[in-house]
Amino acid sequence: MGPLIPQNIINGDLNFFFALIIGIAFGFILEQAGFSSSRKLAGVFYGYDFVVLKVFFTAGITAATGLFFLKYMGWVNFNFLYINPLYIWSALVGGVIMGFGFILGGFCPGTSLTAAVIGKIDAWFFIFGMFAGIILFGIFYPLFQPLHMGNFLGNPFIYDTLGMSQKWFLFFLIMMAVMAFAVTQIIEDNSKRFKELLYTQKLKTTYPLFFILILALTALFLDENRISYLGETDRSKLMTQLINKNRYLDTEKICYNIVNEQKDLLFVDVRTENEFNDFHLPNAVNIPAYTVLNNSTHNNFVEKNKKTVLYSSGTTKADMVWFFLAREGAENVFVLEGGLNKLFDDVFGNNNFIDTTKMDGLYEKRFFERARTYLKEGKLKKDEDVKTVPPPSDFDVKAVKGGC
Amino acid sequence: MGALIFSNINHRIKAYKKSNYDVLFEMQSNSTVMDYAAFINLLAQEEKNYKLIDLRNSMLYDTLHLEGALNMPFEMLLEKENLSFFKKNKDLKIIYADTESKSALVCMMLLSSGVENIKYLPGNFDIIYNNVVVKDNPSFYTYSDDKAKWDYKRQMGGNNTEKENSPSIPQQIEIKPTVKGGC
Repeated sequence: MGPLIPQNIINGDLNFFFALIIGIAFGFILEQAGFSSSRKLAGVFYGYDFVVLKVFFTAGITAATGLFFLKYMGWVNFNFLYINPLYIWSALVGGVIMGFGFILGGFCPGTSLTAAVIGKIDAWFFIFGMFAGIILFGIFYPLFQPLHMGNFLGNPFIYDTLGMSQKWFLFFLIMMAVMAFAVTQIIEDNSKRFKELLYTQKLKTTYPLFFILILALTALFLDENRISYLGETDRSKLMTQLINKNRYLDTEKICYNIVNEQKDLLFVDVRTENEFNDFHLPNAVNIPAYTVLNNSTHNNFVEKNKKTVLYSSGTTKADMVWFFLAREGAENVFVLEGGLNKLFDDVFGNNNFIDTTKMDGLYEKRFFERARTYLKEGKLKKDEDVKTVPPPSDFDVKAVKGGC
Repeated sequence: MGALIFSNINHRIKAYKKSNYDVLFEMQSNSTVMDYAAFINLLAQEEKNYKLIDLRNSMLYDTLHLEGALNMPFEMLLEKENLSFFKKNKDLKIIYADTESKSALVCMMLLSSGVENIKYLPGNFDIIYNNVVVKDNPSFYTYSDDKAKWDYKRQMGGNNTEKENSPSIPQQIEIKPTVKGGC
C-alpha cells in the first residue's frame, strides 16, 4: 500500500486484505480493457493493435508523475520504496523468454489468469506451461544460479544512470509517451486488420493528454532537491532547538530520578549491545544508534511521545540520534549531558573538591553517595526501613555491663 | 499548479536538501570525522586545499584559535551568506567547536542543507589545541568524546546482570553495641 503503511495511516496487518481488493480490481480492469483476448495482446508484435504499448506507457508515466509530486509534497519517502534489484543478465534473458512466450502464447502471466477465469482453454494451457516452467526452474536451480544471481548492479535509477535530473527525466518520459501514442495512432488508423476487429472504440484522449503535459511542464519549475516529509520540523525551527540547550538533562537530575525511582522518564541506551550488557542505567532500553534508521523505532519515538532520555558514553552519539528524531518531529526527547562518562565522573569519581563545610556541599556529597550505592546494589535500602528497626532489647543492659 | 510553485519559493529557505536517513547514515559511517592523525598530516602539507572553520563565539576566537581558521559563530549558521559560503566552496571544510557534539550537530545540519565535503574535528577545542598544536600526541589520534572512560564492569564489581536476576535478600540490620573496656 505504498506510502500509507510506512506513514502508519494503514496498519501493516491489513496488507493482505488490501492486496485482495486491489487484485480483484486489477483483474476486472484488465478484463474490461480487453486484455483477456490474445489477438489484442499479440497485436503489438504484428503491428495492428498497440493497446499493450499504450497501457504500459500510461502506467509508467502515471506512476512516475505520481511519485514525483508525492515526493515533492512530502508524502512519499524514497527510503521506504522497494526497488527491484537489478541482475543484468537474468533481466535480459528473462525479458527475451518473456517476449517469445508472449508472441507464442498470446498472453503475459497476469492476463493469462484473467483469460482463464472467463473460461478460455488456451489460457489454461498457458498457465499449466507457466507452472511447469517454474517447477523445472526450481529443480534445476543450481544450473541457473550463476545466471540468476550474477552481475548484481544494485538498485539503480534510470535517471542516475543517464546522469539526468529527476524532473527532466520525467519530462522526457512523458514526451516519449505522447510521441508513441501519436505514432501508434497513425499506424492503427492505416491498418486494415484493426478495422476488422471492431471491438475497439476510439477514445477521446485530448483531456488526459492536456493534463499530463501541464504536469510535465510544472515539474520543470519545481526544485526537486527539496526534501521535506510530512511532520518534519523545518530547518530554522530545528536550528533554534539546536542552539538553546533545553534538550540537555544534567547528571544530578538523572541520579535524582533513578534514586527516587520516579519512572516518568524512559532511558534509551544508544550504545552497542555489548556495551549495554556490560552496564546500563536501571530500566533502560537498548536501541543502538544504527537501528534508529529502522522504521518501527521512529514510530515509537514520534507517536508515543513519551518523555525519553537518550544517553551514550559521551554526548555526541546521543545528540546525533536526538537531531534525527527532532527532525522527524519528535518532541519530549532529551539527552543526558556528558553521557555515562560524566555520570561516572560525578558519582564514582573523586569528589573531594566538594566543600563539605557548607550545608549545600554536604547535601551534594550525600546525594552522590546515595546514587553510588543505588547503582552498585541495584536497590537502595529505604530510610523508613532503617528508622523502623527497633533497637535490641538488651541494648541498655549490655551498655550497663560495660561500665566500670 | 500555482500553489505548488508558490510553495516551492516559500519553502526554499526552510526545506532540506538531503533526507534524514541519508544524513544519519553518513554520520554513522564515520566518513565525516576528521581524526587528529589525518588532520596533522593535512596541516603538514604545503598546499592548503581546505577551509578551517571555528564555530565558537568571537570572544573565544579572539583569545585563541587554530591557525588559518575562519570564525563563524554557529548561531549565525543559517544566515544566507554563511550557508552560501559552505555551499559554494568545493574544498574540504573542517569545522570545530567548544564541544564535540556541537560540531557533530552542525555537521548534520549542514549535510541536510545540501552542503558536501564537510568534516568535523572530534573533541572540544582545548583537547584539539593541546594534542595537535601544542604537542603531537599519538594517544589522542583517534580520540572521541564518545569513547567509554570507565570500565563499568569493574566499577560495578562483577556481573551486574546476575545481581538483578537473583532475588534480593532483605538485609538484617544489626546494631552491635560497641562497648569495649571501660575507663
